[in-house]
Amino acid sequence: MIVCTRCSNENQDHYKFCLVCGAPLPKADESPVKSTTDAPAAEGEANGGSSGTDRPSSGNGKGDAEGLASTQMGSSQGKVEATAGDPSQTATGASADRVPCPSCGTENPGHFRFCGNCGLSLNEEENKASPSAGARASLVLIRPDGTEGQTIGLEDGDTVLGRDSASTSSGESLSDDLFLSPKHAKFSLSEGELTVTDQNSLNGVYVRIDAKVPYEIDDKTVFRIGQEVLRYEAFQNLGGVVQGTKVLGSPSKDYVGRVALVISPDTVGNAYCVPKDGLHFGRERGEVVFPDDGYVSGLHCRVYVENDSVFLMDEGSSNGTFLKIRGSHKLRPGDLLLMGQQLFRVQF
Amino acid sequence: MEQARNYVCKSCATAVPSSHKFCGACGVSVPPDILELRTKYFGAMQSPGTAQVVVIRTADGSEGMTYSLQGTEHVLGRTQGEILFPNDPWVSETHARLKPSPTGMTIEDEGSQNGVYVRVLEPVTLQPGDHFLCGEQLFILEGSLPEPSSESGTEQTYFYSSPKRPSPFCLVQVLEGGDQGMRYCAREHAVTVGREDCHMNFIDDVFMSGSHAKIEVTPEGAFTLTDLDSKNGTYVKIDGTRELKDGDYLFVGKELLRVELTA
Repeated sequence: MIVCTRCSNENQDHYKFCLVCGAPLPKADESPVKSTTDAPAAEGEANGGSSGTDRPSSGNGKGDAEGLASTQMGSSQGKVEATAGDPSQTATGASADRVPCPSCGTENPGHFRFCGNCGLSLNEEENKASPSAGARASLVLIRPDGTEGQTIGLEDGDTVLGRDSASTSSGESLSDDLFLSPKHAKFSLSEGELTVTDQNSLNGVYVRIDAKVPYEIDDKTVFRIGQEVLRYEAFQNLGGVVQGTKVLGSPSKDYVGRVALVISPDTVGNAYCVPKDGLHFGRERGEVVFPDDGYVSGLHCRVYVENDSVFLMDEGSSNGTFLKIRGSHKLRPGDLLLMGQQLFRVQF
Repeated sequence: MEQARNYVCKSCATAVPSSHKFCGACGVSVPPDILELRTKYFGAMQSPGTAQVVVIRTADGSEGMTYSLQGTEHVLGRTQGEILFPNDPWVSETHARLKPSPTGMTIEDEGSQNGVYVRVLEPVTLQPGDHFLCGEQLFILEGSLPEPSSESGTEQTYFYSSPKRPSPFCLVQVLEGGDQGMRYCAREHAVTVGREDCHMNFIDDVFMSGSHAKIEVTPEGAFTLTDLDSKNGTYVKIDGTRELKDGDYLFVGKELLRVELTA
């Protein structure tokens, strides 16, 4: 357990940044809580641990200190010092209410250091000093723990990325991803516009869709939620007649298609028909549930029919809904891209 | 990926356990048509009687007929034969043939588009590819999924798929027209079909019983279909010819027929 020195959230030992405020965390063994485990021993640690969630996370330092003193009797001294040791941060946190992200425009709480929507650092100087300063656009790798990895610079013109990427100085890590095709996607930067084109890759290129915005989908549209790859399949034979005889089957009601789980290039697993009022997908809620996929939100997304068109909408999921692109797709700054096993943020 | 086992609240998408009147998560009431749903009989004459071939239910809702059979063959069809169903577009022009046999009667599929279904009275063995009916739903049995070929896709790139588990068989709903609708891959050795609390649920099929039928795979790899005392029964598509017994029920197109043999 690492207690954040800024907002006192308790984070798991392997986290590098606070899950709540994004502040860099000390390493687990340097954590203020652990550092107090000498003499008063176990009791001290237990108190320190539980206090993290009980304490108000921001604002008036004096009240904090008092509350802490009365309930804890000073047993987690180390933590009080650590919090007090960084007064500048708590001050800035309290000063600004909402900060718009310069990239995607999302309003973030003032103490956020990274945009909650696109992950861009909200510290302007940090952005200017980006390692790919020479490039006009770049892809920033997001590691599984949420930290930023290497940056791949994109120059004007075309850049093809994939397992064989030799065209970039920093494409090395791509060569280890066996889910990337040798030539996976082409990025074209021209006159300030960036487009990505799938190079007929085996696994495709996915773009995260905005929450609560409907995206029209049609036959064979593929999307990802959590670890699941889903495909919408429009029905082709409704009301079919062979030699004057109707083909027997279950009533098709208002069905226009179904959503199927993709489990290999040519087979699907479970599949469910999309009724007129739609299907909700979630880990716990919805007509279709994924109880075993911890990366799917409680209620994740919805597929529904309106005016004879089919739409996919993210219901505000934590990890997002990713739509597989067909052909070329114009990117916006802050877009999140999924290629192979890699997640990238687009910056330009 | 699996299906919610109960009615899902239209307001907050939380599953509401059977018989609950209000959603436990948001308090919105469950609509009366869901609460008052009871399995209906296919037809009023489904209780045993004394006639010979009794039409229990017709595709267009017209009144059922009783056909007395002579000791000869009778052809059932939409346009050809002795027993005609001109208003049922699911019946082929020449559909099936009833023949007297030493023990009673047999029915033979005349190569019809949709086949002949007979009610399952005790567990029957199925082969992959077999069709059966529960309520208004038609299913096809598929054997185990092919071994994952994803390990070596093109150019040694791995195929990224959803997490998958071994599955001994799948059940697929076949929609009018032939499209595959709902599909469920067994997680263990059995799959249940019904209106609620089953692996495959058809909440608004009023002819489906709560728990309607069960499909199992034996350790030897054979598949059996068992009707779970459903109100309207489970019907399996015959392969060619079938010996009929007194009280057998048949589906020819959307016509439900009862066979009555007097000794």
